[in-house]
Amino acid sequence: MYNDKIRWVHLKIVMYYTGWVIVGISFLFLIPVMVSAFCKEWSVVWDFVTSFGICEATGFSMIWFGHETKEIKSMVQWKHGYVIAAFSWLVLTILCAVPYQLSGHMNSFLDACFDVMSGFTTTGVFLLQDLDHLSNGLNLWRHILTFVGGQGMVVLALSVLVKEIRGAYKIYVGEAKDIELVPNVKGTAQLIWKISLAYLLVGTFALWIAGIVIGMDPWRALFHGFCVFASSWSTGGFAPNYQNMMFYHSFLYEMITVVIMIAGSLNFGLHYAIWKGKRKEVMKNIEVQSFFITATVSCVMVAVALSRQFPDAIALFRRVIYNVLSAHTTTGFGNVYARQFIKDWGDFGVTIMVIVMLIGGSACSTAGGIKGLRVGIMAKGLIADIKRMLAPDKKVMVFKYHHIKDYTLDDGVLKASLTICVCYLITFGVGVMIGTACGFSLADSAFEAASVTGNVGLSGGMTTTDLPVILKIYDIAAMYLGRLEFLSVFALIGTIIGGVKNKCKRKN
Amino acid sequence: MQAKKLIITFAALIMLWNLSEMRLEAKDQLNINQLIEESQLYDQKEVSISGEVIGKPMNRGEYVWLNINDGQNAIGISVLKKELPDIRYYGSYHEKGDQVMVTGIFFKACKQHGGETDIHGTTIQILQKGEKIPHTVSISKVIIAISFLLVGVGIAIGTYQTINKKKN
Repeated sequence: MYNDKIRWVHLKIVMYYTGWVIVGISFLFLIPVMVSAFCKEWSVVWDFVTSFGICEATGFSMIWFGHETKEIKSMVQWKHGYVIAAFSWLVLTILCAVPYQLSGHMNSFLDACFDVMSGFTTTGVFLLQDLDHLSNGLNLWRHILTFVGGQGMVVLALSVLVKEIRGAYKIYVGEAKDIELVPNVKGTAQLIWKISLAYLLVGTFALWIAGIVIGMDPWRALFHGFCVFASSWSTGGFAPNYQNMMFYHSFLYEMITVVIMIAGSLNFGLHYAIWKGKRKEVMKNIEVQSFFITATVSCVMVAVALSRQFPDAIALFRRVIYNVLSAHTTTGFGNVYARQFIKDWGDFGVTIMVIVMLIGGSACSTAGGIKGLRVGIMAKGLIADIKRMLAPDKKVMVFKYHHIKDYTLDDGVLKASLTICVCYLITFGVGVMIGTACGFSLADSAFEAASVTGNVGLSGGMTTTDLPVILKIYDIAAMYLGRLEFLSVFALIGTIIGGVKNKCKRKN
Repeated sequence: MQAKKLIITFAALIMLWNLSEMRLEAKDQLNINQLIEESQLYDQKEVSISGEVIGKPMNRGEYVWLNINDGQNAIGISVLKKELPDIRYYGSYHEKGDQVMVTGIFFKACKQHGGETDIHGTTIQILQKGEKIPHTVSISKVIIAISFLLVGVGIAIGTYQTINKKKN
């Protein structure tokens, strides 16, 4: 009886806080409502009003269900934080897919959920049909989702609703963001948003001017500027038109996006350190070093391999280096056709792309993948082991790495990095197996699996609405697992299995 | 009589020749996916594609960029401004763009445009005028939207009252 009561309390805690995250995010629906009204897209206005109503009803129902939690705030545990983060993402994926489905641009609700999960996880692959005739309201919604997903939905909810969310830090960590920029979680969440909004103003302005220079009218240049900024800063990969970066035919536009996507793939802690005047951090940080080495090596290797295919160095930079950096930062902007990766880049090019997509950007940034921090730690761990092996038996050696501050490289850190790395590789392997089992080539399957697992969004042409349902479900799961870095999702799955087991036991 | 027969035969031969030319033209018209899949084959060769003009043209000096979508894929066309026909409709949410046929040189990796896969258009012909797309809002859609909004607001008020009652 006592256990039943406790279980009930756990459920109420999860429902209460998830409800608040949903309510916080639901107000975002009002932005496309206003933009659609401004653009006289009346049908879209009503689609978003419907979605807002459903979201409000769901969120407040959950809060009502768990409202007694308000009096037992001290009971919020780490497991709740993980489960709330993972559950919020799932429920919001379904709710935010409603305007997609109502637009008539989706073949099924599963496809709509696919696109929303791709947006939230800053992946960037999509199954939406006839993108070139999409309303401004829904197009903006796609980019808002990717922008919010990049900074974190829980982070957004925490920065405005923290009075209601007392176990805040535990939920914040559940969203794969564990950096503490300032001692309190509300301050950290607000700082993450301040950094992003500062870049938003500068980046959108730069792209707006560039848009006008390349021949767009000011209103369209502003719309594209915001969308492309949101996508590149969040390392998302969506673009307002079907051709992605090829729509603009502009070196200037591409260069600005390179700067933004590299900035977006860096740790928020690093941005904050630079903001605080600690510029040397850029050179000392293990993640920056790791990214610099892997990006340089991969760019040089692919450029050498493909140099004969392009007429000059500028072409090579724009078509090869750009795409490698886009893959490495897990942005997913492309300025070559999807099929050209598989047909023209060859096995070597595809292999390098798969590797950089899996490595990804920095921890606690908007980027996905295994992360430069973990790759750096594992590399340092390997070097440390070799040094220990060669050193005299009596010599005690301590190894350190620098990430905002100095840390000792101990077995716990190494184990944690390796665990996440193995999880990514298993998810990738499962994707390759399912892809090849469905009849796709190894190159196609590996490229697509790396792209969704690393939350990149580049495609070799495999991701279309004709994709088998099993692969669509795998892609959604891989994007979700990759973005939340497994632990939160495992906690949610464990909780559900535990609940079902207990129910079965009681019945027996 | 003989001369008349000769003229008719000659005319028939010209018509047949024209028909075969037309068939050849239709056969030569490619879709964008074909160009991408067999880019090596068509590189720096004259090709024809047709599709809808998407987005507004982007002026670059004496040239202009157009984006054409054939329903399967899209490609950029660089063309002299003076060669541009009077395109009225550009594909967007509110408009179905003009359908055009573009003839030009296809480049797999164009040196002039930083390695872009594009077509340097020589002639652009409007095949079909575009049109405004009507987006009517049904009354049922409005009623459903307002109903959900009211339900959402109702539950929100109810929840606040419940929480406040507990407080008091």
